[in-house]
Amino acid sequence: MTTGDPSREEFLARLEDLLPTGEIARVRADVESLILDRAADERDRDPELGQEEAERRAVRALGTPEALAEELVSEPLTIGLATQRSFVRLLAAVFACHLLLSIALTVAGSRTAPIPGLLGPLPREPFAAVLLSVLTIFLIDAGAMLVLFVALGRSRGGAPLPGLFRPARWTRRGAVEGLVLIALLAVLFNVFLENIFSVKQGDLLETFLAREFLALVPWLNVALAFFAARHILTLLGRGGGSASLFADALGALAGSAWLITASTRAEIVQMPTGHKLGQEAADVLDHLLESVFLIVFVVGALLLIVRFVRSGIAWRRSLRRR
Amino acid sequence: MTGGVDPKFEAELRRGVVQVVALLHLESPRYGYDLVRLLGEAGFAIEEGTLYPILRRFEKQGVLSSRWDTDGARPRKYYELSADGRELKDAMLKAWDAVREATEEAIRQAAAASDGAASESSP
Repeated sequence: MTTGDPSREEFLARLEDLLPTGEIARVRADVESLILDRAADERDRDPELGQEEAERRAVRALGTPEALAEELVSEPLTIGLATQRSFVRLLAAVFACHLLLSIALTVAGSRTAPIPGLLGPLPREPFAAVLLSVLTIFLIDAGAMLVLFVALGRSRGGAPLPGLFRPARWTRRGAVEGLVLIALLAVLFNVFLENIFSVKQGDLLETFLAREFLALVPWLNVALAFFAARHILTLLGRGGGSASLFADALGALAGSAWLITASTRAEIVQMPTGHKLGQEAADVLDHLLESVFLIVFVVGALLLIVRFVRSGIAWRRSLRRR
Repeated sequence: MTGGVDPKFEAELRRGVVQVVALLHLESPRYGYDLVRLLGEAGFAIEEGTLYPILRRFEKQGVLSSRWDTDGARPRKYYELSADGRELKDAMLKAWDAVREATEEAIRQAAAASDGAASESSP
């Protein structure tokens, strides 16, 4: 590349600040190449033009760094045919292999799981347990594929991340949306959790969340507080700065630690038994709901760990720039 | 509304079409600014700030493959349709044909209705 030009460098530095860490090097090289090509063309057309002015014109053709970054990080407008196809194809292949291996282990009469929690024989009865196991295999594969596509950058631009796990853009609108989401989650977890996750026993609603799990819930507020701090800093015009990146990294760390702690509890669900729900049905529901919670917690923890690493790297970069 | 077409409408109309046209031009390898010039010559004037996100998105989706050429005076990134990209291009062209045919049919029907109304009102 040629020697730095303030206009080009300013544009690229601002663009770097706005992009996800994993995108920076590639996008910077691409955009710099575009600027230099356009500048050379400008100079071919007007030999009197200086390099600096030619580059300024080339930068102008790119619009503002904010608008370009917004375009680069927003969801695709076009159909993500390639993305959907590769995700679905891969998921179908992984699920088929996983299921075939489980059937093979069942037919072979295996009594132990070669990979506990991931690969083992299917139950032979009752039928609901067989269905439940197949569903669990599918959910595990779908979760693992999602993590693989997102965390390893194989999303090819089409797999949307849940808002909580994706570092939101450093805009005031994003900050307001983030704060509203955090407020809703705080109300859900601190006020309504036991009412929502409950079953009716006679005239009363009785929660099916285990006490051990409920005792952990207040600690989730720590993660929410860090994320709220990050959004408040953005509202104060300090979004993308080292303080907000640090708060984001701490929020992701606290969130992932909470999810890992929650997923390692002996009991997450404890279905109350009564005149309507027999012990056997309660056990099946326990198992089903525990599996769903575990998958959500593990996938959530992995995504938050990725976010922690990204924000941590961005924080270190911001400290170096200061 | 009176007068010319709303520029926003035209921009939105072009935004979808320009993606198909860009893919058509990328049957052979081209670098970004070369594509900007080609599209301009084809009547689809587009700034780099609009085209680059499209190329980047297609690249991430695996629609385009890319390689850097460092032999010239400046390093240049060349984009080309991948096998997935050819499938997507064909799918987009089919979608474009369907939209074009439906639009032409709507125009024909509107013209026929207009002619019918004119002949009924004439003495």
